[in-house]
Amino acid sequence: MNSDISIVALSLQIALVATAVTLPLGMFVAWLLVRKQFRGKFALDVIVSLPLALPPVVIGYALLWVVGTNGWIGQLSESWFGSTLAFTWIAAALAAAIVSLPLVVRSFAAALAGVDPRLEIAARGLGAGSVRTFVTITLPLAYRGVIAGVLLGFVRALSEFGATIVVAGNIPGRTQTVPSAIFTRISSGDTDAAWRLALVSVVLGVVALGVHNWLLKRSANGVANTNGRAK
Amino acid sequence: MTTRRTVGFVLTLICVAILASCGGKSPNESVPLIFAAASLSDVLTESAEIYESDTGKRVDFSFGGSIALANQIVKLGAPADGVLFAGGEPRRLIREAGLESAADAPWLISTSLVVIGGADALPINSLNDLVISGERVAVANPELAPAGRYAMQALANAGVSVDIGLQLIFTSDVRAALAAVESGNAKYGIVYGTDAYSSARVVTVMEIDSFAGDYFFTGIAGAQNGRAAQTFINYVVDEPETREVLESAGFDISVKRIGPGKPGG
Amino acid sequence: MISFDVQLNRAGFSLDVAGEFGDGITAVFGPSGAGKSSLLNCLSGSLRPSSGSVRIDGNTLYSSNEGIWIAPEKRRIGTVYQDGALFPHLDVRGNIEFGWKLIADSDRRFAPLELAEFLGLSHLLDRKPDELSGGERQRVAIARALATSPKLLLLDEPLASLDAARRGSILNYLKRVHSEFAIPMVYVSHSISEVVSIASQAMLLREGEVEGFDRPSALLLGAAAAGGDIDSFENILDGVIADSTDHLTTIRVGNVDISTRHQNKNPGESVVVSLGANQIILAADQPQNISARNILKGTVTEVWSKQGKVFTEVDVGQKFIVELTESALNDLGISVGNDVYLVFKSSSVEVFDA
Repeated sequence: MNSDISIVALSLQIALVATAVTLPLGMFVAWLLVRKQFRGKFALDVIVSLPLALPPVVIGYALLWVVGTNGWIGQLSESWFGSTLAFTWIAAALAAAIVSLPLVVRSFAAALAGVDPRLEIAARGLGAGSVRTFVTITLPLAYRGVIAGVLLGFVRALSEFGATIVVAGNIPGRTQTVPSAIFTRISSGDTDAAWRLALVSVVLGVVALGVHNWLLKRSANGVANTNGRAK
Repeated sequence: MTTRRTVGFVLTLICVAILASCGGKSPNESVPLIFAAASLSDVLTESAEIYESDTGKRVDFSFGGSIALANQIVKLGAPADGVLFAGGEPRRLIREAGLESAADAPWLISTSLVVIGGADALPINSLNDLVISGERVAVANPELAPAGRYAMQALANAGVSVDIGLQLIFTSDVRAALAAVESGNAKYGIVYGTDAYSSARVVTVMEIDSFAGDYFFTGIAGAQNGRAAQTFINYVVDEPETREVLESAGFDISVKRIGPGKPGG
Repeated sequence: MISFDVQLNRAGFSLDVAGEFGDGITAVFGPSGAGKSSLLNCLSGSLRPSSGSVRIDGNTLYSSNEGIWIAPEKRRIGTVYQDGALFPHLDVRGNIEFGWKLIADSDRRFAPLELAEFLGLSHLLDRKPDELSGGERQRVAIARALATSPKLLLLDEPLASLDAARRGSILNYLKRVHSEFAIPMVYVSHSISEVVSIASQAMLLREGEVEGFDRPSALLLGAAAAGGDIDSFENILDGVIADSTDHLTTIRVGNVDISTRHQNKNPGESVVVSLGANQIILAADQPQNISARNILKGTVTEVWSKQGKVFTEVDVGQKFIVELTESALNDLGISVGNDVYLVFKSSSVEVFDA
């Protein structure tokens, strides 16, 4: 049987890569939703939130059609690497990224919305362009919410099962994540081994959520308001 | 918290992710990937360990219901290099998709089909008795595993009608059916003889004649590591140590040659 | 000099204003919702008008006809906001230097430390905004805006969240900034008292349109009609301590000395005095044997009367605005050119630090 350590390591690897993908993408979408007005904003919000409302297996299946032999990404991958992305850890990372994106976007949007837009206007008036304003004013004031969002996305990516198992299979050593391994162990009746991994999941989840909630509490106590006056 | 710390945090995250993905396995390893029937999981894993300590080469597996796995390969493009499946249906699927690499894939291993019960199960004399007992019976989902198909066919042949859902419990593969009986969630189950043999927590209450699980191997046409997969299988059915593993688990090893190559690997 | 002609159409609000502001301090005055802040935002570029143009010193910042739009960060226009809008995660030094760091060396007219000293902030440079008082915050905001060496300084109700003492003090700072650094200012307020005190010109806005553009005191009539903040006009004036006895202090305001309650200050110190228009009594003849310590002779220079409210401007060596009732006006026969006496108690005068 695949060792617990290697399963956890693979899961962490997949979740980290997924988080690295959702971080910039999620921040960009969150910024659009919070600070910009444009036609189609409503549609963007719906599309980004869709993975929350869909069964993960549906997401996995849809992703399979894109990264597998019939999809354009799959065919691109075949011409570059000789094989599709389906049933690889990259597909698992993509699946994890998609399901965690809505949570990341929502967290980031809340963090950005907590920054007084007048501070950004003031920065622009002082000569800072959009990017500089974002990096030097918005982000430092929103950083707690941003980290909380990253944590939430990470832990969601870590626990993804339905989409992963459809698009990446459950191949020990290649795509068997913690949830997939737990499922296999339950199915084959190896309850002790299942419990061990389940415990790891619970501990990771508790720690991540604990830090997440603590961060949000600290930012609600308000250093991000105009003149730092605590609420 | 300054800008610098935020940027530093983000960069650290990205670096860790990149390092993690470098440390992990790339999709293009030359380790062969063999899709195999769930019942073979113990023996194949053990055989692979023997193979690795002998030759230094690794093998990766994906275990499950043979039909489910065959579909993954044929319809979804799963990157299997070789398969070791039970039954005709998976063979038909692979052959019809033109993915069978060997001209003729001989039957390699076989096992019987049996009814099992939990530790305190009452003996059963016929499949009819089984159904009349009213107890729950765990069986592999016939859409996913040949073991399930055989079970359903056996029941049909015996002229019994069973209330699927009420009395029959479908599991994703035959090993899961075994686990259901082990845990007591089902009183009885229909599995392979080798599955029953592998577990100390169930007893074989009845053998079902005229049914056997036959396993065949074939490489997948166009696979990257097809040759490595064949080499491994040859090793398993030739080397005394691995043969011992199979036979002591209750598998019957018959014809052994596959593809071009000399006997004995 | 900034000239503009802008139109803005939003749901429930429209703005259509045009004007030209010179190099002095120009006030934009009117009741809430008149469009004052929107006008400022159109000038600074944080709001894009529906049509029109904005030009500063001959350069076009915005023109709908020519399709020109200069982004706010490129306009070199500084803004001071009502509550400062200081960056809470930066200290005072960081706030002041924020914009200064972004301009070319050749464009820098002032050094941050120089500005901090001028505004009395040198000892506060390492504090964070939440550790400052309201007045200190506004001074940082002014220093921050000036540090970019702007061609124009916009002030959006800068005193609205300050108490009376701080208001006078900051108003004084602003006057000194203008005289010292010669930067044109546009000062938005709904307080006629502030406008009269600081501005040389004033634009009166009502419901998105220009109702008048004149000397600030001349707008009093229009302000009264507009229902502006006219109920309690305060004369806010700069003064210098002249003398002090045990009970009274003499302060030179303009060209006249007034008596106030004793102040713990030394002769020569700058102060700000505030005297309500309704605390001054007008006498047609010189009063005899009365308790008030301030009896000043002067000439009536303006009279405004509307809906029962009367304001007169009297020049006694310093111009004061005085409130009367209409009946008093008629009884005394007050009109422009008359000699009158202003009478008020020393205790009526509020004195603040400059």
